Amino acid sequence: MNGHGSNDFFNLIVFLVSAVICVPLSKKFGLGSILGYLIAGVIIGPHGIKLISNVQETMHLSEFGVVLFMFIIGLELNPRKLWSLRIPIFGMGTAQVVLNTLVFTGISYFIGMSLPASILIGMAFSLSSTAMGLQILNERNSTTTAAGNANFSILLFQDIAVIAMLSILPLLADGKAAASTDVKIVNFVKTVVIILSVLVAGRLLLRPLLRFIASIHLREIFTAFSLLLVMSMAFLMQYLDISMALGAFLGGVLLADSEYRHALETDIEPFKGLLLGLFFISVGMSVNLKIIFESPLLIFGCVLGSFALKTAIHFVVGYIFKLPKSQLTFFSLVIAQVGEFAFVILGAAAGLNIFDTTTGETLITIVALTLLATPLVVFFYDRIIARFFEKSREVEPDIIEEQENPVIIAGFGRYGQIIGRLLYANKITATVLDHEPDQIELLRRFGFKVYYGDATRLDLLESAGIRKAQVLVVAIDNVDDNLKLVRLAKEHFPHLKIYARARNIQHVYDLIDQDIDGIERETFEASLKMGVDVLRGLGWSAYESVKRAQMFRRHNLEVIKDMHSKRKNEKEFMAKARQAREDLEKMFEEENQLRTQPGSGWDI
Amino acid sequence: MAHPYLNRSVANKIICGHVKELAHVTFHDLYETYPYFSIDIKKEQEILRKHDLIVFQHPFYWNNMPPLLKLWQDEVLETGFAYGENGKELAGKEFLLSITTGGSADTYTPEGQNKFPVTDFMRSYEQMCSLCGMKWNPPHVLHSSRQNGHDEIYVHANKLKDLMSTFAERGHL
Repeated sequence: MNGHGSNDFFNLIVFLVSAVICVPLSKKFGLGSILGYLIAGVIIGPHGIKLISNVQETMHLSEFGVVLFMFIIGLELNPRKLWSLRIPIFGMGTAQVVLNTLVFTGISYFIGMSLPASILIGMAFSLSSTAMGLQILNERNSTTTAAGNANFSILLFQDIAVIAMLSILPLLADGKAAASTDVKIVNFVKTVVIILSVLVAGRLLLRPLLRFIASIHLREIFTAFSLLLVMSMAFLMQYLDISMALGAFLGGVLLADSEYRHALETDIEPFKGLLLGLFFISVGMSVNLKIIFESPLLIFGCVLGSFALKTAIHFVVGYIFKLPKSQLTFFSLVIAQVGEFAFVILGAAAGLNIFDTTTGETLITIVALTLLATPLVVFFYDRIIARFFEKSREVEPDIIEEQENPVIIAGFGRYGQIIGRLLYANKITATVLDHEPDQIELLRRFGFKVYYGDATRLDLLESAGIRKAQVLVVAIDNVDDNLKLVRLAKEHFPHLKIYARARNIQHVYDLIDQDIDGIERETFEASLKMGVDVLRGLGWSAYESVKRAQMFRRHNLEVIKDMHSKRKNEKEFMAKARQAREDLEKMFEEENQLRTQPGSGWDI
Repeated sequence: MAHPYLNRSVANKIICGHVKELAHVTFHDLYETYPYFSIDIKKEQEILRKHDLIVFQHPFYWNNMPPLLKLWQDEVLETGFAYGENGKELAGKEFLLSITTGGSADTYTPEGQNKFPVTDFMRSYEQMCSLCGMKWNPPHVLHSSRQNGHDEIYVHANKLKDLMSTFAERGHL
């Protein structure tokens, strides 16, 4: 007992040390955290330096990381949002699972596997990794894009599909039903009843319960309760032979509307992170290096082949469901690995003697390698495919033909749109560039001609017709990109009039350095306008309020010019700032003295 | 009504307070409505159409109207509405000019500061009426409005009120 305990302790230290070394290294090289965990797993695992031997147990424990992850995802999706995803979930989900299963079953059967084994492999390979997919989307902040939603929906559907897959496993083993149909129906009804009562009870009871727990003001008890909540949901679902992750997800959705959403999320987050890391480590550990060395060509061929096939199938699915073209490749790649459920299905299949141990181990290694490959592929996508893809967009003449509009607007968010609409209303045509695909899709539906692309690139500007344009409006909110474009345009196209949106005062100074035609702080005029409204709300007359705001504006613009010239000298700069404040007070004081007293001329 | 700083004025505030009380009168404060000087021309013309008596109430700055009222005149009384071939929208309406001056009545004499009678400075208003087909009425003037006590202003304001009521009784409004 004692020995076992200290062994666990040792294992924990091994996990932590390997993670602390590998993950930062991997991140430093731009490969993301996941690959770091995976490599740590390969190194410490039974096929590496053999520090950890029990892969199965570790993986089982760490799967809870995925469960917590799904809970957090659930928290972000209230029932209404979930309902709006019904078409991606059931449409794209079904298409993805069915197509992949058919293709992989067919191939396995074709290369001489038995029919049950082929079906099994087909099912296992149709699944993707929730942990991997969502983690990648999360790291890149792309969970809310159209493609991110689609990825998530498919992963969610797979969780549901697994239930069906596991239940037909015994059927594949001996060719006849393991349980009679009656029993199955009873089981099904039981499951539905339990889930429904959990949902209803959860809806009614969870919030008061959380309120009570929170009112105790013991942080760790709230954390404990959060964990208990997720674990009991997961446990219940496991008892019903439904995936734990799905249960946790439902629990999350139940609480998505509650005021404790953020508290729960913050409490669960670190556990999720660590366990998910452990999960990736255990995936790394299940890579059997011996098998790879025995037949490297076969293994890598299979990994590459299945990855490519799945990507192609997803591409088709995404295309049919009209995902934005710019996101299609990324969407296809993120879920192209074979997921962790495959371990479960393959493990169960080995138990049922559907195929021999060597085949089983080979398959598991292939699965682990596809997982390992995903972060690498995403890395290459960012470095190579994404760039090539953007380039290919520009050279295609039907997408961005040489434009001859007098105005180019770079950045068509809240700011650029108002300028664009004003011009548009006055029949001045503008070429609009933006790099947010969702935004572009939407604007095109409204009839705007918007081009996708990074406006800080010279070649793109050329094809947008910058040589013939008179005015460039830089409405990009990102300060670095904004300045980059201003400098670029100033250097290469001196004939242009340039107007730029400034995010903050430092940005204003940098723009003044560029000596352009117009600089506008994005919130300045709006804030002044509201200042006027506030004065009016206090009973000031309208014109008086406007006059004061205009005085303030004039003074402020002068101060900025002054401050800009003194900003290199901190002492002078601070002195100037102080003086400006005093000047302003004095100015308004004089205004009050001179113009509001009787006899000032305005009093008749 | 046009006064850029109505809060600072004594006379105009009292006058406005009085005429606001009248039924059938739309009190329209231009500086309060258009502090940014961007006049909604269509809306202004609609208001004019609906009324039979138009009163300009304003301080007589530099013997003239405040700039927003001038802008209003330029933009709202456009050709095709107030004058010109199809510009008959104001024809037949009554017009009354009601002003407050800083100077006393004495200043509007050949020896005084303003040299000319106050009505001389109103010729452009009169001409506006004749071009638009509006009926010019004897102007209602409050002189030395700064020096006046409240009582005198009240008397003046009540007189304007009565004047406007007579228009109503005459059946024009």
